[in-house]
Amino acid sequence: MSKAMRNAWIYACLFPTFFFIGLFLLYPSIEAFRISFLDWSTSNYLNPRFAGLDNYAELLRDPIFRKSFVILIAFLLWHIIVLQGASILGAYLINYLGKTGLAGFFKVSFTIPMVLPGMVTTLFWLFFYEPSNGMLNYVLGLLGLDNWQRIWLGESQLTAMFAIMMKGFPWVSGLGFLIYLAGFQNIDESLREAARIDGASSWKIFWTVDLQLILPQIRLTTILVLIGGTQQFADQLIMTKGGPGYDTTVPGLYMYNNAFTYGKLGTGSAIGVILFVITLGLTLLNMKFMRERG
Amino acid sequence: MKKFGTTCLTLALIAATMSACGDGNSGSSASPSSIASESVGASPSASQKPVAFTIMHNQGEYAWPSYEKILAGFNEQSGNSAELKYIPAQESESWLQAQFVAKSEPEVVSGTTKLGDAFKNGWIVDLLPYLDEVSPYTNEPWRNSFLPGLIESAIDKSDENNPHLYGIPNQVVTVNLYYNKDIFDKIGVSQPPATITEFLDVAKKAKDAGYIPFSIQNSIDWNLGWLASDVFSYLWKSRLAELDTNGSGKVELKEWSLAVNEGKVTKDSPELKEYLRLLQDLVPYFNEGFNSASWEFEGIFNEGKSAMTLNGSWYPNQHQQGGFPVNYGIAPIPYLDKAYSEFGQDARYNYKIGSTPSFAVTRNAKDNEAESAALRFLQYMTAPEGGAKVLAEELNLIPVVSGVEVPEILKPIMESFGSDEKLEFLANEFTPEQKDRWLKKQQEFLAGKATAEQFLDEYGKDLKKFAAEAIKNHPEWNAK
Repeated sequence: MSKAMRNAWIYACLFPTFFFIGLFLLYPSIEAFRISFLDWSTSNYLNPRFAGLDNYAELLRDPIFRKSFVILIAFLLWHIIVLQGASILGAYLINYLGKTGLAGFFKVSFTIPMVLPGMVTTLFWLFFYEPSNGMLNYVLGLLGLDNWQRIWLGESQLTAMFAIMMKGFPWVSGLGFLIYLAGFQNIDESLREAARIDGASSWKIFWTVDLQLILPQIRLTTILVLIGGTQQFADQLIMTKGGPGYDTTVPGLYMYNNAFTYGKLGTGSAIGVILFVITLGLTLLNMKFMRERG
Repeated sequence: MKKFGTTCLTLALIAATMSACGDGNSGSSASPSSIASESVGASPSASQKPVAFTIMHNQGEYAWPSYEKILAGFNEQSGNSAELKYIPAQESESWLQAQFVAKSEPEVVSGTTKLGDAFKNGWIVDLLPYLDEVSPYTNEPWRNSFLPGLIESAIDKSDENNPHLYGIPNQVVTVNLYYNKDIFDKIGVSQPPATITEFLDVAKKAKDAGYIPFSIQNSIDWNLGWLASDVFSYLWKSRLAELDTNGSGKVELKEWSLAVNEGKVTKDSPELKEYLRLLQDLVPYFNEGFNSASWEFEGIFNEGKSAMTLNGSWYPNQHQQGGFPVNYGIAPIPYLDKAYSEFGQDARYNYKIGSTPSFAVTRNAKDNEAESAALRFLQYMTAPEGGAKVLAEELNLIPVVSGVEVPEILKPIMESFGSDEKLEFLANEFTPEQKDRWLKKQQEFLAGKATAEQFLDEYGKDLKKFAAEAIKNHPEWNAK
């Protein structure tokens, strides 16, 4: 019996996975690409018209769409620098505690929030920022800091973006934290020992040994943050609806609004395709960069 | 053997998954035009087989017991097995759109303002032919149950030769001024303000006394939009003859789009500038954070912190259910008076009892052989001894049919009804996108981040584009 025949059952078991990936991931992506060339909205739902590149041209002329990328870049930089930085620091410190009970306690504490549905967390923070009855302004009032109280989600672009960025403080949780922790735990202690013998300070050991050896993990999480961050808009949708005005509208939210609020399916799909191309480009660029550094 | 067993198990799981993907409600073999243009099917008396179907609504939790009671009464009388599905109001529009696209919508739906589009796409049924059928609950034509003029106002007559009724209203929804009687006593105001001038005067007194004069939410356009709707009716009234080209007494969307094309409505229209002037005068009296406020504006009023608010005619029921401490009164929205504006009037317009289509029957009702039962439900819901009575008695909702006693608290609202036609300003909502942009720019204006000129420049920038889009999306207008 040929090898292919002997392995036929393996292919049979794999087939459903690939079938569903094709049906629910690949096919919608191809379909979105096709729809992006149509003048298609809920008003002419039964009679979509081929529009060529009109949707893309309209988007490139749209100041709201262009501005959404500036806002997105701000959120992505925050995620990559601050959130990942906090996760790396938290993972490093917990790893430093070794195999103590305290380390175990912290590991569990930082992992438990992962089991909460994201929407629950977002709704909590929505309440937290509520101007009249929210916890933040209440605590500021108790501390005598009334002049620090703000309409966090609606006063200005600065307060609204700050409020969204602060969600999840102290940000030491999630998949990134676990990946970094595993990375630090896998580093051979003898490397650190050798550096110590050579007179390296703790900071130098962290910077030249630990951080360098978890570069693959950093590459992975950066890619995940870029991919996820480019597409995500749930926080903006729930907390600010993209406001005040369009000050926290990211491309993902603008895509959602075009498709489901304005009923402009062709335009929404065009934004989706643009986001896909950008995500793909960023991923390839990052992989190339990390490969060279590695 | 192990491999064979694993393969069989995998295939069985696939088959089970694929069969679960199929839905009894999905798929429609009838073409949209046949569904949209033909009558649905047999009259209620011809198809008596009990059916199971779903009714979607977006009324809050306070309304559920009453809706369940209506449903139980209907199921008992008709032998059908209808069930309710609740979708929160803020999500119902997008939820319904997804259901229509997926062909999995319930047989009876409500909670969307896009019934016209849904009808064009063949997703819902024209109910106009059924108005003349005899309702089994009144033994007379269904049309006769409704309050005078009410059902006529719900009919879409944009194509005069081919009117349609997309849905049946189940309550007269009005928006009124709700005021805190205790705060009014404290600030020495004996009557609710009847005019904008009086409103600003009362608001100032309330603010000076340390109260929030007027609590609103402006994160969505419902609240301030209600005030705007009333104000615009006065602002544009003097131009009715010019804009109302078909003599219907009101300016419809088609006529607004033509007016924009002909340059009769532009960013320089003085009516718009006057509207913004009014908003600017009102801003100092709004609650803090109104631009991002949601339903907490109601909480502020419920807790007795704000002197006035705008809310719908559903509020008395909410107040009753919630046991809120506020001692409130109801009054018509203050009207734009001549003392405040050159566009104002000497007396308040008393508008006709109007309604908008609410509950619609979908194509799935036909596909699932539930169209008769669905229509029967709508007839029961609007029957004076059926659903209309329950809605009035238990939810303090204004009935759409005659023969139902209105609760005492709602009588000031009923007394404000008359025969004047309300003039709706629609040149800022030709498309959902334009409406959203208007809201966001208004938010910026109210926050002091845009001047009136910038607001109007933004409005005027794409005004003709949106008007053209509306004309393109409504070929039945035969407009150019």
